Amino acid sequence: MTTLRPGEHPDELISASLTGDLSEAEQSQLTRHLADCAHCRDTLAAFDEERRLISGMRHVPPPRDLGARVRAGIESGRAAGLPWWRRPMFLGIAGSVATVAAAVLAIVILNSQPSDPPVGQATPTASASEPASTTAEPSASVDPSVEPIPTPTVNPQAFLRPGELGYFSMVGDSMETPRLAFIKNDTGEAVEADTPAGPPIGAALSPDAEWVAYITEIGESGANQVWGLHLTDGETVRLGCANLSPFADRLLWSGNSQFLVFTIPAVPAEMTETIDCGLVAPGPTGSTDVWAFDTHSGAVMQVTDSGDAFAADIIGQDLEGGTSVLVSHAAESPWTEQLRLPEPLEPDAEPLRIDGMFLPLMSPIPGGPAVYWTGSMSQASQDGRWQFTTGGMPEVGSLNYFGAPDDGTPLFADLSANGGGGFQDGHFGWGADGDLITFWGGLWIGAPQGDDYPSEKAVYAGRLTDGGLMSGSRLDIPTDGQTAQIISVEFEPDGVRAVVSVRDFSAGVGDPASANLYLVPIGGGEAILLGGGIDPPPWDGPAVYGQPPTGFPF
Amino acid sequence: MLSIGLANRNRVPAAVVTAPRISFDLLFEEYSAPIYNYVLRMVGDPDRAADITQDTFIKAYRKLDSLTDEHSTKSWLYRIATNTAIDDMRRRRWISPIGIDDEGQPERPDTAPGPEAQVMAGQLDERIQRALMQLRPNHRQCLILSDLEDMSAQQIGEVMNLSYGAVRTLLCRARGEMRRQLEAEGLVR
Repeated sequence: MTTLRPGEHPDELISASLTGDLSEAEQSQLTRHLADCAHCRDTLAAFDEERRLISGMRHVPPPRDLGARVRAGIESGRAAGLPWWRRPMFLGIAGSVATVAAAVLAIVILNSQPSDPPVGQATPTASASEPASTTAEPSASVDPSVEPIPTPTVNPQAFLRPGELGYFSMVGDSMETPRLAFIKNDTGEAVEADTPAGPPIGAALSPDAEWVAYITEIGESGANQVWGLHLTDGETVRLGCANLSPFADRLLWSGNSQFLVFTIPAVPAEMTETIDCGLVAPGPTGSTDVWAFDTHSGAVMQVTDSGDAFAADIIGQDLEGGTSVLVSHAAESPWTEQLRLPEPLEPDAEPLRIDGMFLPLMSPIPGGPAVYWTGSMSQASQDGRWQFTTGGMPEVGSLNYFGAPDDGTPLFADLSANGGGGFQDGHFGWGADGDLITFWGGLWIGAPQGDDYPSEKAVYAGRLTDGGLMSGSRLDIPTDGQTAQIISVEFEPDGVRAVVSVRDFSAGVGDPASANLYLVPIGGGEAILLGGGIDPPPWDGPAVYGQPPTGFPF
Repeated sequence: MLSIGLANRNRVPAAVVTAPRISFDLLFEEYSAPIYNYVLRMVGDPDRAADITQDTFIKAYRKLDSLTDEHSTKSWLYRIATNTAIDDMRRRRWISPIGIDDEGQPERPDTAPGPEAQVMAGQLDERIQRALMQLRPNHRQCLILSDLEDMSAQQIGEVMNLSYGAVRTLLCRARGEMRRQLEAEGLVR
């Protein structure tokens, strides 16, 4: 039972009282309160009247032919409101290939990454099998009664239009009372979020630009909080508390914006006693699992319960409208599997599995490669965090569901783990063209490779067609490297510049945290400082870009 | 507004149901009208409600062997209906925005004779439906489940995959929003 503060009106208790969902203690508390509070008596009367109105709505009999329609649907294997992607043209494709190949093909066909061309047009990218361009073209055998495929349109509700930049910023009258806002860079328009217990350090915009998911620190506790901000109405949703852990910061949106998939490393229970986290994941410290937020229902679902799982990527919709998720498992020899949301089509079937690949991040171009980790992992003895201990190297290659990746090439052209060492951790990111790629925040534990190379404080960005990354790929960021920490890196849609959020640790102990946001030219040139929050000291970032519409009208 | 759901990949394998068609017939007989009305209040259009109800029962038929606890039949079926309705609304939002124009004034089957009282009741229904259609889908859903379907917070949680506490919070927000919409319709002060 909650204790009412002076002047507080217990609307939730009043609402629950209408359906008998109160404990005896709560009912007594409410009864006492109502005796003294005219405001709440009005609320009760209004809620009661509203319930009476709804419950009194007429009962409408269903169509008489409903039973026959259901029976016909069952016998024909068709449903009434078949979405367009399940209509004959696509079912024909699915029926023409073997089961596993169909699953992979369907994902490639229906990959809903931001740079998808409208369905029905050939993709600009050639791949080994070229499934997208081959199968997405109009078929001569298409049933003429099939509705034309809708042209993707920009969501009219979108807070950010395609190509527009948005970023988080601490705002307010002073640093004594900061508030968190998500700001549109072009106009300064802002949506305020609930005030967090620390600054934001990660963000991802949903494809329909109605939600932005983000991660904030919880003071200096070493734990983080995962949130969702509904940009169209400003509602903030607490999605959970997450212990600080490498590889746990990916916020992945499904192409239809229904699911946010994220990683929750379990936090010590005492850490959450003073923070309203929403979800507190079960398990010992070091236990890490993948969770999903369903924006349709508001539910948060546990996707894995293995204690070693990390959200890697979302790779598209399948033929039944489900979302395919890549989940990686940390181990001495890590591996990745493909799962389905909201539920498996065949619960008993073994998920598709890729051995030797950790945390793949797919190219935004359908049929393109992934960048992923290889190497051996172990848990740190002091806190159970998973990290690479031997040979931790990023590679670029294709997904191979039948064994270890065999066509991978090192992301860094001039780095070698030399049988040991390598990176302990780090972050990847793709540009929209599937050629531009970045790596940052990687702690090198191998033999020294050169003067301050590779640096944990640096951002490396370059093109695969230029041979990948190398020491000269380091971006010129106007921040003291010794006191900086890269928070996030996003590429402009045209790939000309990167927007980089950099934390500044030069402030004294106890001083407010500070971060700057820079637009940094990829090929060299002067960086531009962005931001519009409290100054000094500012906290601006992370930033995200509005995405072009996907080929999916749902 | 959140809850902790179950890990879906480790669900108990489907139990064997020996006579799915018989069970399904009973299921359809008992629930087709309630599901149709629930969906109708969710989407506000009788034709769409019929299509969604049809799809719901086809899906239910195909998944019937995954229903292992007959006591959860109602919430299981409403959950399928809910997901099907939400998929439909989500898809249509990109084609024509959900709003009063296309959803708020449904043309219902003329199922009753036309005395004045019936006409007035129909007009009242339309205004309530218009108010419902202004709510966010999850607010509308929990309000209908609570007030029209008379489900408890526990049952609503099973349908919406939300915790008991999350349902209470969501219902409270929905009632507050519905109150404002009913005021706008002039139905409450």
